[in-house]
Amino acid sequence: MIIDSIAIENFQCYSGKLEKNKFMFRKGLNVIIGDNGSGKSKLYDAFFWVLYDKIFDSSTRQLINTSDVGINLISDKAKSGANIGDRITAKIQMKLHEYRNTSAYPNEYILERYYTIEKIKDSSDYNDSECWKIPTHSVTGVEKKDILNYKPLAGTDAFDSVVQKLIPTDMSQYLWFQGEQVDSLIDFKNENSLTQAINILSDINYYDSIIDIAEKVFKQAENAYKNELRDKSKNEQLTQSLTTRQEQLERLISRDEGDLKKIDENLAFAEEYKDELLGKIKDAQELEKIKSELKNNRERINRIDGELSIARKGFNSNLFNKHWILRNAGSYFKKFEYLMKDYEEERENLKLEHKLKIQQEEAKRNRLPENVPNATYLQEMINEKICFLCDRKFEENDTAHNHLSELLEKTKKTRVSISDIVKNDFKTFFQNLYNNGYYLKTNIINNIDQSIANELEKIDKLEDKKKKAIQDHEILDQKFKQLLGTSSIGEEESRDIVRKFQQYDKDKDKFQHQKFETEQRLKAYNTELKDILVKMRSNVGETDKLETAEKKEVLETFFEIAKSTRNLVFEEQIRLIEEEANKHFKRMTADNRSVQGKIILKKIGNNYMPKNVDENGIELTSINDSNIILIKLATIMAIVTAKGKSEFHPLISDAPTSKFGDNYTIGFCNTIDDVFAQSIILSYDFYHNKALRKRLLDEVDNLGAVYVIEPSIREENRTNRKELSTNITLLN
Amino acid sequence: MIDLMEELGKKTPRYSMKYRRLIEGFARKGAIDYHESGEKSYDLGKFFTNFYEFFLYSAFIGLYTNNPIPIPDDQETKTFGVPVRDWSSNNSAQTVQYLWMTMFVKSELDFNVLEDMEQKDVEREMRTISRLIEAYANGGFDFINSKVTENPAFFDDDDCFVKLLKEVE
Repeated sequence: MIIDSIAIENFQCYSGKLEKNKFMFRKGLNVIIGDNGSGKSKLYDAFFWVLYDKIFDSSTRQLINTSDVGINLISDKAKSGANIGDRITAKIQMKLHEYRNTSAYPNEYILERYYTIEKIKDSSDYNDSECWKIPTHSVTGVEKKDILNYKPLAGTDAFDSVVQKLIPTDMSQYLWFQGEQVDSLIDFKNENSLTQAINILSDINYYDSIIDIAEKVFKQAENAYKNELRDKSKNEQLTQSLTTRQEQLERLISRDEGDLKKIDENLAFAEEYKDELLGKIKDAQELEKIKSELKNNRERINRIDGELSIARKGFNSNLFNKHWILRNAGSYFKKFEYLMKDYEEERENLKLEHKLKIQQEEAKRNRLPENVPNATYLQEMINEKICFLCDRKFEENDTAHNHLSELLEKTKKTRVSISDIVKNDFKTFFQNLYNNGYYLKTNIINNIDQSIANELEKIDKLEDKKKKAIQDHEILDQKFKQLLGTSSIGEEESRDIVRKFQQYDKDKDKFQHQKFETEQRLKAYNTELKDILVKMRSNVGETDKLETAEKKEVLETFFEIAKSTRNLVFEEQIRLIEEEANKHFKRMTADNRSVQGKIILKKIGNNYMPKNVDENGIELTSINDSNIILIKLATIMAIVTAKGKSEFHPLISDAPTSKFGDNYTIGFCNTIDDVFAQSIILSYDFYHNKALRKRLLDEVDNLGAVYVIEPSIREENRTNRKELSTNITLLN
Repeated sequence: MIDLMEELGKKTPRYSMKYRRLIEGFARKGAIDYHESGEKSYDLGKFFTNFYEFFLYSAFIGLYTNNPIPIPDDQETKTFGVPVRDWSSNNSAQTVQYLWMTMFVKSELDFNVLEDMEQKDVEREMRTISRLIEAYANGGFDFINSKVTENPAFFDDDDCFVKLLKEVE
């Protein structure tokens, strides 16, 4: 079936008559381009409503019935201008024809749906449901062209049978989806997701029911065999103990098989989640690395800031610590030195004068000149008690002895002290000032300029270091922002991704280990179980015939065949999907050189996970967000083409390429034509990106109609929806 | 006998109250006024860790600009409450001694005459030295205050007081 047109009247933002809101479609790819809030989703709703009486509620993310939507289905513009007694109808008319009908007059149909409300009361709020008579159901109509004219089709199921021809129920989810549904539509983690698809292709459920029957009859035969073995046993005690162990093993096997299934599921989950992160982990790790570098650099800046602050604060304290304050005071020391010299000279003069004065006084009193005899001879004469001048001897304390002692004392007194001359002695004080001045002048003041220059250089170096650190920080920050801009992950997300990735990796190893252990255990249990049966059989006696043995063996084989046949069929369908998916994947990625390898569906437990592998089957780790969606879309297309129904049904999809770059989008547009005779895509991607729009119009083969839809009043200029309608422009 | 070190050391030099705000602007009153924030502007800036350090700095500026301005008798004055012998932060003691040395140079006092003076006369001379220090510090405050009025931005830089030394070379 091909949809020729859809015409909309007073349905949501499409106000006005059918003629005003009409889209004509052709075979091939039809595209409706619109900005956010332009009416794309309402058009998608219009398609869905006319066929299924439901629209998509964006707040609950669910499809809801007309009765629950009520007057909100009707255009605000139509409602706001209505008077009491006016009837307003929301109406959608879809024209279609059978594409592969070989007759001269292919079957052509019109499907219509109406919903009429009547105004019964005035109110300031036209959306007040009290003011309207609201029906609980919409009304449908179906007409078929009879050479020249459309005539209504009779029968209660006439409408549904045409809908079924257009979109068969079992295929509807692959023919009719929103971009955001793709992820859940092909959920590789969920075993049922692919089974459901494979069931459409191969009736796999039929094989499952054969397995169920085969298992049931085999179990019955096996029980009968065991009973016979017990009944005919020659050693009842041994048989009893073997039976007990047998039952125990069966319980253990049942438990481990259950566990194995869970482990397989867990393994598939871990693998899928890890794969989902594969495309993000590189960016996340890089972001985390830059984050850590930024943190280190911030600490580096703080450290330099601290050092700078200390150096700057310390700079002034050097006025005292390093005596910079004395920078210009060097000359005063020189002057002080002169003063000290004068002072000391004067002191010496004073002493000399004083001494001379004493000597003169003494000279007046003595016959001998001063220091004759000198103090040494005087002391010797006193010691030997004899005068060396007159050789007279004397005794201690006699007149001569006392005279000589007095002379000796006088010679000592001629040593002059300054305190004998002036009232104060400030020599120590001034000497201290001099020593301090000398030290500072010689060691410090002469080097102050160099000391200041050194400190300034130190601060300059620190400032340079800080400047460099800030530059590094800016570069890192820019790198970080660039990466954030090109990456699909947020600033806060990266840490989580790295952690989760590591966790899933660990989980994967853990589950693989558990799986290996459980399988080993199961193998051992099954071997033991077989041994028990052999022992029980030998317990019966070699010559005794067992009536149930043959039946059990045949049914066991039947059960095994049923299982392996089912698996073979399933596997065959998986390979078929894989093969078809690769065709579509290759076509979609033809213009993208970064995409390499092919898709394989790898069996993990009971699930099949998509993997991107190179020609040698080595897994590539380049599956990112858009690649995953691409693989899923390729899988959807594969299911459709494998079923071989592509030529008969249209695809209707809202924003299927929203996660793609330009090349993928064009690749998708070209591939879709291989799969569907007609597709109708609603897209935001070509609205602002004029270059991509040009590529769509120039490069895409078998392009149908391309429309642009725009609201009559842009969202940001809207105060209400009373005048809202939708402008439709055909581009080709 | 009188000890000059003790005599000068026990002095508590005065400063004119008209420079109180200037002193508070550039110097911390003492160690307890320490702030972690990087203050450096004129109003908040504390370039000197003690009031007396700023006094010493000003005395040298007065000396370098040869601008002693004795504090007039009618002007309100205040001391730092700390005798000079206790001015010891950041190697200040050595600086104080150097200042005394320059003051003896400036005073043109005859050391030998001083030695032969009576105690009360020596004390008077030491008071003169102390007053001379106050005069030079007062002259320094006057100079810095004028600089602040004319070019407050000069004091935005961390190294302004070092630069000022070079200016008054």
